[in-house]
Amino acid sequence: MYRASMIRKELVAASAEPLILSLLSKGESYGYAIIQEVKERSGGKLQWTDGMLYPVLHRMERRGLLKSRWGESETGRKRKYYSIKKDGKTAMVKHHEQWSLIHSVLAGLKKEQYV
Amino acid sequence: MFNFEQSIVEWRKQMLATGIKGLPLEELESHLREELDLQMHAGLDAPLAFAMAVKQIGKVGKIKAEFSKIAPDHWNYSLARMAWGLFLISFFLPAYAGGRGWQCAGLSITALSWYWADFPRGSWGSIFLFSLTLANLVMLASPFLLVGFGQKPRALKWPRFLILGAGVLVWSYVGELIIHDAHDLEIGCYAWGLSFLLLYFSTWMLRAPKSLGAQYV
Repeated sequence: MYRASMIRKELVAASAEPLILSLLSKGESYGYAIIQEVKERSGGKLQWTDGMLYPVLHRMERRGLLKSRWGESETGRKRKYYSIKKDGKTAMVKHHEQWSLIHSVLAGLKKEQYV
Repeated sequence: MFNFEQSIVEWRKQMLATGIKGLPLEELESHLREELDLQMHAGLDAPLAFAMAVKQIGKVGKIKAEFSKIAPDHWNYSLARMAWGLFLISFFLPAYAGGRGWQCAGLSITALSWYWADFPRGSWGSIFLFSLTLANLVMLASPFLLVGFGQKPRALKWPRFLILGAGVLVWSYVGELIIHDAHDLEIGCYAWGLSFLLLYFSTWMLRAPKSLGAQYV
């Protein structure tokens, strides 16, 4: 799904679901905008092979984490908008807890190296 | 002159050829058009913009492979198939006192009439026996229930609850026969009971959905 120039693909892969959930927790969005926002927020270091996002979104929808609706852009173009569901919010909280834990462990270890 | 619409039609044909169709294709096309707009806005000429947008979407085969991984069932299809097979076979095997499974099922269907015949004295035993018909109906309905509810783990609790109820009924009956009439019990009765156990297990022994990140590795 991704071409990550600096971040290992396994890590990028593992972060896909929490990133999507977190982005959608701010409000509904569509595939292209999700990709652009991830690219922008990562300073271009997290670049997804765009087409591979959609199977992920569809799978998350199937799992009851997201819901979708077809709408129209300002220019009248068809777009599929995704939004987060209650189960998705629960999953996001769990992701945040887990990623925070990993981050704190890593940060602690790093700190010890410089003491 | 470069024709965008014709190029998109050709691109759609490639997608269709690999089996990507319907709404996923519409969504991908919408994405392609957004990317085209961006590339054109960035100043690329039309053919290059299109080539870049297509490249950015990714390889058709890989996208198709990822879409094919969707629709994980949250129940074990193989185990359920074994249960249904065993249930059907049990109807043709000797089940109780030389009677075949289908004959036992026939008895349970008519059992309620015994209740009314004995009314007002009544017979709870006949109601209990009749309830086995309901259990059999749950088994017959289970393919539809599992297919209908099986893709959402939370929704699966309803068929699971029904199947558990049916299994408890069936095994309370089989258990009673084992205690009191063990010598009359034959393989069909055990096969019938086992089919309910297998079906119930099939709703728990989940086929783990592939990791969301599997496609990256």
